[in-house]
Amino acid sequence: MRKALWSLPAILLLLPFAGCDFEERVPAEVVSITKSQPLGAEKELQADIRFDVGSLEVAAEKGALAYTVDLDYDKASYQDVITYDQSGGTGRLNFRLESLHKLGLRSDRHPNRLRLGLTNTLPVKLAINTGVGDARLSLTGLQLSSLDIESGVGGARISSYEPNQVSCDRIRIRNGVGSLDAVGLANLRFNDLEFEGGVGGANLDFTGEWQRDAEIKIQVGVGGVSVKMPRGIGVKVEGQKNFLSGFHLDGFTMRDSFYYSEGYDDAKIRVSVRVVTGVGGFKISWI
Amino acid sequence: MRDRQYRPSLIGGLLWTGLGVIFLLRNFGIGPDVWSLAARYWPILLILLGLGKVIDYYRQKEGISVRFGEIIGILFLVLIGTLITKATQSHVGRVFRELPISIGGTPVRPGEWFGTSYTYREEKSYALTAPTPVRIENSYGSVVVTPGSDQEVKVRIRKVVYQNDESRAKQIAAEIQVEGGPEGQAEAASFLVKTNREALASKDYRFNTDLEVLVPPKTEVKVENSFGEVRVANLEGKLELNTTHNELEIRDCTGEFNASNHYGDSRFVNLTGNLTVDARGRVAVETIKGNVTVTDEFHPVEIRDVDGTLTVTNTESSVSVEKVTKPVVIDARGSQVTVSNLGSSLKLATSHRRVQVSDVESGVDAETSYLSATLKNIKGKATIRSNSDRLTFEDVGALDVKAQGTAVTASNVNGPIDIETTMRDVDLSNFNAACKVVSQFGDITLSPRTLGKGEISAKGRNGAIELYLPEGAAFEIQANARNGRIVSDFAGLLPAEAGPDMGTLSGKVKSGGPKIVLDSEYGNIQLRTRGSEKAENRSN
Repeated sequence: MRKALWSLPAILLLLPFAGCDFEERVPAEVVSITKSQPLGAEKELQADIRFDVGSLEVAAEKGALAYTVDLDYDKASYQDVITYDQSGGTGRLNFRLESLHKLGLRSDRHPNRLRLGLTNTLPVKLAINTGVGDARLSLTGLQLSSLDIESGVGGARISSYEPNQVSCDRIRIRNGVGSLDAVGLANLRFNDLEFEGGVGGANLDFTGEWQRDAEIKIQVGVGGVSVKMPRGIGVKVEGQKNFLSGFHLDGFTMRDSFYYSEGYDDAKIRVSVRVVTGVGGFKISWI
Repeated sequence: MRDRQYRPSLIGGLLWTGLGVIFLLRNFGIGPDVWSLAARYWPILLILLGLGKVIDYYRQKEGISVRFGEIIGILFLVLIGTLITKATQSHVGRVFRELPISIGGTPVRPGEWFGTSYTYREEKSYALTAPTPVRIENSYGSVVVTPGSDQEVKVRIRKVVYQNDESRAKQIAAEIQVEGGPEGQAEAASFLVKTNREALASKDYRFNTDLEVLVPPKTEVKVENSFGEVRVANLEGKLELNTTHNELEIRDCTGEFNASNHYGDSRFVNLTGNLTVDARGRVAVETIKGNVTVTDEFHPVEIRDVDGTLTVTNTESSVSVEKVTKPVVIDARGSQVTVSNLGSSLKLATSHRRVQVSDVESGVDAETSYLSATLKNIKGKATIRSNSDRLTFEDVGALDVKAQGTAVTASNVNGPIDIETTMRDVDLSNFNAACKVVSQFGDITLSPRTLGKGEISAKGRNGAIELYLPEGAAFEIQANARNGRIVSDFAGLLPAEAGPDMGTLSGKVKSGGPKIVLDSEYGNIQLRTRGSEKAENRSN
């Protein structure tokens, strides 16, 4: 330990010479972009978003715009690529914030921030891939026809407080290291939902307006998965406990190697949940 | 215990001395920015320590062992390193960088440890011949507007130039100018104050411009800023203020106020006039005489003491409202809502978070879902459209709940009660007016304080119905438990067994009185005297 303490000034001494050509630390040069696209003949919108570092917000946008982008980023370290094309009735928005991979102390760092507004007048296929940073997806008001989210390091929150105006064929959520909270998932009106848990825990709240039967596949990762279901929904769970994971099903009975919720047979809406357990626990509770 | 003798280390002494020299030179502006380097590269120490352990393992063929002291040392290192990194990247770091400290009468700027900058100040005055609105444009710096003379606009500019070479910094500062002059024509004319940042955009200058603008005390002011704070105080006139990424504050002003702030906190204190706020950041509003409208998302909104109406829209955060004289409207899905001391009515739409409402002089009209709500001391009627909530009412004027999957508990309701819900229990106590409850699949428990003139009606499907009445109560009853049993504590009012598992009960107690109708499809019905539940609890 004593040696380690002695090595501390030695390393600090070497640091200034190790980097050679460092610039002084000055305020970050922030690029602030506001961009939008008026709606034309589009009948649907596809948005493919890749945001590696920073804070991301997605919300529905009222008005005659296909999308709006409010973006701040550090010019010294990143470069934006925003393209939009429209063909065959489909508008395609492609967003990338690419790292320039520069080393050294060029400037004070500014947190990147993206706020993406998507039209509430057209069906939207949304694919989002986040890297390091937090993401807030406020999906209330969107006409969401498919959703694919991959979150990296950092928290993510998905919310939908009103019923989706169109049915969402497929939802795929892959969680990374941070925690994930999804609220009002039933409002998305999905047929299939696939969740892949990562290191962080996840809370999946299936409250909202259930309008159809659905299938949910949950792959529990290292962090646990907690599911909330509204009372009155019939839930069938297929999955097995293992010695590593807790498996807590509140108010379920087992029949033919499946777990059935109380009143499943008489329920107007039936949901089938297939669980692949991992290290973390899996829990269903009622709200 | 044997004292261990350590030989003094020549290399160690030289290392510490060298380090001191580097930091000292840095303080004179010579050499690289060691603090910033340490802030970024300190984790290399951890890597080197780890590599050292691995090398030890192969050289000495010992297992890798970690001693308690080493763990403490590493944790300490991580803590210090993280703190330095955070300090250099955060607002605290910025404050620290710009903090002037006097040591022995010599001004020292700790900021130079993090990078070199030079600050220059300048002041300009512009005469005004007539009252004119003032428009101020800035970016990357603050704007402070305060009252000055009636006949002039005075601008104090603070230029912070980030540059190693002082003479070069001075040249750049000379190029940075604040410009003032009239713009527009006739009625639309205003006096514009702006910097020439746009003209310098092609040059690779890094600088901040902080503006302090003194304007006539009674004037209309518009500020358009970005990446900098905006503060306005003690003015009389219409204010339109916009900024981003930093704080916005208006205090002690009279007029009409429009404010927009994205990604920064906003604060409004002691204003007379209507206030409209469009925010994407924390909002605090205090002591306003006028109507207030706040639109926000993802950040807390706190409002206190408004003499006027209030409209708040927010999502995914919290809304706190205290003391508002006129009607309040809150739309806050996914937000925690706390409201108290309203002089008029409340209209509320929210979900998924906790709601607390207290001391409302008029009625409450709410649309709620998937939450837990407590409403206390509501003088008017509480009208709730609810889905899957847990609602608790205390001291309410009247109650109208239309719900699905919601549990309702209420005490001290002074007016009519009308509740429809499913799957969850309803528990009402100390009410004294008409009461109608329908709960499918949930139990119903009713315990009126006195029997008034209104009818008491409870209808259930699968749940039990329990009615607790005062011992001397006079009433007329009709009860049916189509697939259940009926129990009565009242002498002379005994249920008839109409068939197996089917009970009915009807009749008058004393001279009759308010009508009571109890109806259950599959549950039992109990007609009890008040106090019997306590007696039962005691015996249990």
